[in-house]
Amino acid sequence: MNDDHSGISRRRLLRHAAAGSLLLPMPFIARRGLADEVFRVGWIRPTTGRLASSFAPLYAGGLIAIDEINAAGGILGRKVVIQEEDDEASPAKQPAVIKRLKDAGVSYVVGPTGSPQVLSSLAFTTPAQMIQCGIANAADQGDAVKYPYNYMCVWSTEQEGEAAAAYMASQLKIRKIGLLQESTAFGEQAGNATRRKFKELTGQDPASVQVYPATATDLAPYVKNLQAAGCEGVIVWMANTVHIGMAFNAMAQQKWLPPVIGHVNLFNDSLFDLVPLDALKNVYGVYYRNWTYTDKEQVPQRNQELARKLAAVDQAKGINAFIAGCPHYDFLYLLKAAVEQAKSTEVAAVKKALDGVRGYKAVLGTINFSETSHAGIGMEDVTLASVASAKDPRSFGALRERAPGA
Amino acid sequence: MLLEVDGLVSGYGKVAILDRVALTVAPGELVAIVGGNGAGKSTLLRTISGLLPVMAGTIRWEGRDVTRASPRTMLAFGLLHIAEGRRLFRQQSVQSNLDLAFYGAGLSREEERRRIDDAFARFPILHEKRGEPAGALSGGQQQILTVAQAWLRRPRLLMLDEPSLGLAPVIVDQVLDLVLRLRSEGCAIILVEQLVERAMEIADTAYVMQNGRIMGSGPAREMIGSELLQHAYLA
Amino acid sequence: MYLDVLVQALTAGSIYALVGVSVNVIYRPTNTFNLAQGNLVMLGAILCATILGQLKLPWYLAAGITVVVISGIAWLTHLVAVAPILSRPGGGGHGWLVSTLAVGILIEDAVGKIVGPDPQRLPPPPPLSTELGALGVSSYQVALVAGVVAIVAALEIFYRSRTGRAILAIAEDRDASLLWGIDPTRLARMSFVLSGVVAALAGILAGPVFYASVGLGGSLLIKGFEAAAAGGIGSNRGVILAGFFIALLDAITARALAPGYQDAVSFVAVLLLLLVRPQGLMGRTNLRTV
Repeated sequence: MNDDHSGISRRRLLRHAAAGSLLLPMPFIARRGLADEVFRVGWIRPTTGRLASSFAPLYAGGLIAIDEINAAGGILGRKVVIQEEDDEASPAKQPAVIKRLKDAGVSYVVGPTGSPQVLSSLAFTTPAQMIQCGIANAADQGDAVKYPYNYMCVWSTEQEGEAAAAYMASQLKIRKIGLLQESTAFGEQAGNATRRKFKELTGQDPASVQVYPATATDLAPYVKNLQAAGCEGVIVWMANTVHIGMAFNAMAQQKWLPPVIGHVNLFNDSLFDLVPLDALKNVYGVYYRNWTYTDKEQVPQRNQELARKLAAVDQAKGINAFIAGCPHYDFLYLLKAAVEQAKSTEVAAVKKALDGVRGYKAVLGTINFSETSHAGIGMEDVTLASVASAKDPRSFGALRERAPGA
Repeated sequence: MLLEVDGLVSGYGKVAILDRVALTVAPGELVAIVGGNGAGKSTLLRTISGLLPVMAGTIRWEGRDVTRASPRTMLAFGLLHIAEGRRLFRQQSVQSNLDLAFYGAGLSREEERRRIDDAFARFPILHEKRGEPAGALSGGQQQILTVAQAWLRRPRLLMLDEPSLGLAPVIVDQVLDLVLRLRSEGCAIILVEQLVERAMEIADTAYVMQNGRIMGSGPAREMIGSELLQHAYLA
Repeated sequence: MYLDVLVQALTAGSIYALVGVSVNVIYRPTNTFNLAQGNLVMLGAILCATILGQLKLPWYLAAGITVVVISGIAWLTHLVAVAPILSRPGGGGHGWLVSTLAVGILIEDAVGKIVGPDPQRLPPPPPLSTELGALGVSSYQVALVAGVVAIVAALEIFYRSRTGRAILAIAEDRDASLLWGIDPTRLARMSFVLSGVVAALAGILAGPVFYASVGLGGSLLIKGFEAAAAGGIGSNRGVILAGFFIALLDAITARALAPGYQDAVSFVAVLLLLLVRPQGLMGRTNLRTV
């Protein structure tokens, strides 16, 4: 055990050394001297642990924003510097991580990733009055009464669920839908939102709802149940690419290829290695309107530039669209705008400026905050895009073709 | 000398049981080690065969220092230790137990075949029960199996720990008879036995142990009824 | 109607059984479990998929390289994480739990860093295919079940050889086996290599059905342990039966009951079985009557 401890502290030491702060205690640096020159942002990101390889690349957009902001003179003339903390993607690590950031005098935090991690982190950042933006889509994380210092710059899982239901009902005019969802909080939230919205629009319940465990090793039985129930369209809420591959292969095997709508991770390139392209022709993922194009409408210039930069990031390979849907890029620009409007880095003043954000044009859409709501994205910015359009030359990097009529 | 033990100290963990034990065995000699419970007889055998590390003293095999040799090395030299309590592989068949006696011996197939046939001829009961698990044999049959294993291996020195334990007198006779047959083939034997008089009758030399020490030794027959022997068991 | 449930159970069950057998192979001579086993299976699948995808080597050559590399890692695991602990006086207690777990985490982290989280497709060996045939069974599924039975049969033959029986002898009575010149360390090393071979094969065979991804290890380790426990530690035939049984139970639960209960149901079933038969389906009770 002792060895373990020394291992961790050695690692921490190395990281501090890398940050060029080996010889001075952190609080000293943060409060004096350097604090006048740099704008410090806590960067909670797993660099070790089983989820590190999945989560760490998602911060690529944020790093691009920092490079851009620094190249343009920083925030209030200060260089933006990240203070990285490894949370190992574990909710249990959050208290220690937040304490270290707090002791270092950091008031603005990007990360962590994942709803349980963010919830655990919020329990400590909220009383500490640290302004935060993590990757989590649970709707209540945009509730500013509950979490007054958390700013949600992405859609909620409910919005995602509704968008899928609306397209099935209103555009595809399908009345017999099937739901295939994983047995997790995400699957349940998205599935419930889909059912609610579908009922509202059509008065109908899904013809079949199939819930599979997160450890399922074969999805063919669930797909067969959907087919047997006579479903004409399927909405899938699956977070795991392995399961997505299994489901589409099961459909291909059964020669049953109804329209399918699902989560933004359907855009991951690895799906094309797992599933024959033919099985993906009729498949759409929920996506941000600003990242989609049509024959008549181009993707906004700013998104195109960011897409180009993301495509150049090695770690982002194959998951450009997923990263494009992450909030860090917009959050950092919002923070810059708020600090510069408040002309102060004091949390209270910056929070006031952020709460007053209305109609802010971000890459993910138009962001509105208020004192009671920090759910920044509205339904008008949520749309659907074709998965197969990844093979279209116009779809470089994160761009995808908008679904017909969406 | 085949085996020379001198000033041997050993035990379990840091606790020494044996106190400067000295003992010699000549080729073909039958040595009996007698003494009360906890005298250190089994510990002595376990140390000689390499199961227990030596704390002090030396063990020599034909003059060569083998103090730190492993059981495997000792076996390769020709020393076979049959531990107390009929340590057979009970879940394996009689045939398999016999076959494992050849483990690492490097014999040819024909030689193994020949010895097995020979053993089956000598111990018909084992041939009869060859397919059964060793654990299903009676106590006496199990002891015969261990002696048969030793027979197959043809050691130069066999150390037998309490072969008569828990056996009916008739069976004890059979087992000790087998031991004598082994010796008649030129195999030296160290016999640890609680049936003192029986052991003394067949042994050439006897050592009396008490509290981890050798209290005395001499020609076995002369020691029957001696004060030394009585003392060792009264203590 | 029930044929596809059966086919699904046989497919998944074969893989569970193979992982269970690889657990068993190590347990026999060492009384330890290698907690990195699941990740060796995962690495087997990913390595083979990567060799096929990047180097474009023929399937059987890629599988051969994978088996060699994985069994090499298993050998190294024994050398670094198990043998030093077992050779400590008193057998080192349960230190191997921590050390093998550490090896597993190391493998998982390293694979995550190098290969990334994306699953890869591992094609079945030519000329087999995962396309369903006339009876709703693919040629690969048939070959998979036959292959697993063949692997276990080969192991059973090995355990009848003198070396194999020596390994069983160590499991039964370590001191007595020492006195017969059996070297537990050497045979433990051999068993780790053997279990590495089985783990690699499990990964390579699982790949076409479950895909090669970092997540493969954890779930298969649990199912493999369940199969090993339910089948009876030490009985490979029992482990095959248990593997099929667990997979069948999974499939039936998913169909008949709420699918979320799948894991819990098989877990409870294994526990109940062990309450009634602590030695597992085909495990032997110790005949230690003196």
